[in-house]
Amino acid sequence: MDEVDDGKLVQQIARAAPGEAKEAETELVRRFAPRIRLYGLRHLRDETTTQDLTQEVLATTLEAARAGRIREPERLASFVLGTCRMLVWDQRRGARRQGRLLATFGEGLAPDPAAGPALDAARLADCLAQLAERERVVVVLTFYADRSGDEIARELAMSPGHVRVVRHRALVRLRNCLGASA
Amino acid sequence: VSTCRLPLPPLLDYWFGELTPTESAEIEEHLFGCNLCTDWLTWVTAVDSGVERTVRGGRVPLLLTRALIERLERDGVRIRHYRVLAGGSVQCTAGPEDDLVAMWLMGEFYTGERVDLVFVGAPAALPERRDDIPVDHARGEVVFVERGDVIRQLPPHVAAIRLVGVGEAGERPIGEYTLHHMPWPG
Repeated sequence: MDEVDDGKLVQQIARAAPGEAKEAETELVRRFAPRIRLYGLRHLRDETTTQDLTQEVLATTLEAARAGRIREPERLASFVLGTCRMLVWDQRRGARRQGRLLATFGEGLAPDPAAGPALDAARLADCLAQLAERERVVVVLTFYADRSGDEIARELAMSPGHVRVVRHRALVRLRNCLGASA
Repeated sequence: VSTCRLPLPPLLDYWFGELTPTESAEIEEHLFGCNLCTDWLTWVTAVDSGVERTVRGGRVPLLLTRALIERLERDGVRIRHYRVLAGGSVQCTAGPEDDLVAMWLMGEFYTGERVDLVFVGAPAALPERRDDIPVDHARGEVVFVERGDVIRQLPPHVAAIRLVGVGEAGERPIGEYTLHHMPWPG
């Protein structure tokens, strides 16, 4: 399934009786759940709300795929992104239709989108300790204190551009230290 | 991201909300079709929660800012504080309940000057030198924090912290701070 492109995936779901293309639907979920989660975290900044969004977008997408309503199957990614945007916009307006969709598709279809990868705490502490002071403080201010680049720049008497460079460099060093698979 | 057409900096700038709405929308279009960028940002989310747990658990020695110290204490991290003037000394220790020990070092700092911290005569468990440390110029202070469990392992000793300003003209001493460490009684 890994090698099947998005368009074929949608076509397999559309051709099957509702709910019968289980393998294709599972692959669609596997492929897009992480991206929807990132979109949600980026825009909603909350893991629980993001989990709701992920399930709702997946259910909406599967509903459309089953009904043959994805007009350009090869542009599935754009459809999913558009659905994310619409639902976040809806969510901000307070509109909800999550209950109906989840009743149809079931929460079990989606993998637990809240379960992002976990890093080994001791290894992370060791890798943080290996960063340069300024890099470590920028990382901590970013992730622990939720400071923006501009706020960090003011706090550490740096330019915002320099903060971005230091943060970028620190993350690359952390990733190399932890290993890309961590 | 090396085999992806998108360089890493704009992807990270997107994640941290530092792009225009138009630029962000372009990155999102790319992200939804790119496994490598998805992997990278998913890893960043893991770092996000991992750093929070690690810092909250007092597991990282840090040179911190006042705001971060306050945030840690709000989060329940127990911190023992010492304040030392340049040229001064302090009797210090770590209690059994201390997650961190914070040493507030006062001095005269110049804007644009790099500040390095050097340990003199300290046990091997403490770092010898830390370069380019964060400084609160407005308050004239540096906050050095070490883990309580590291301090509790140290034998009685006298050490010094030396702060050094590094500029185009070379190095200048900012202050020396003498620490008389004794283990917690009992």
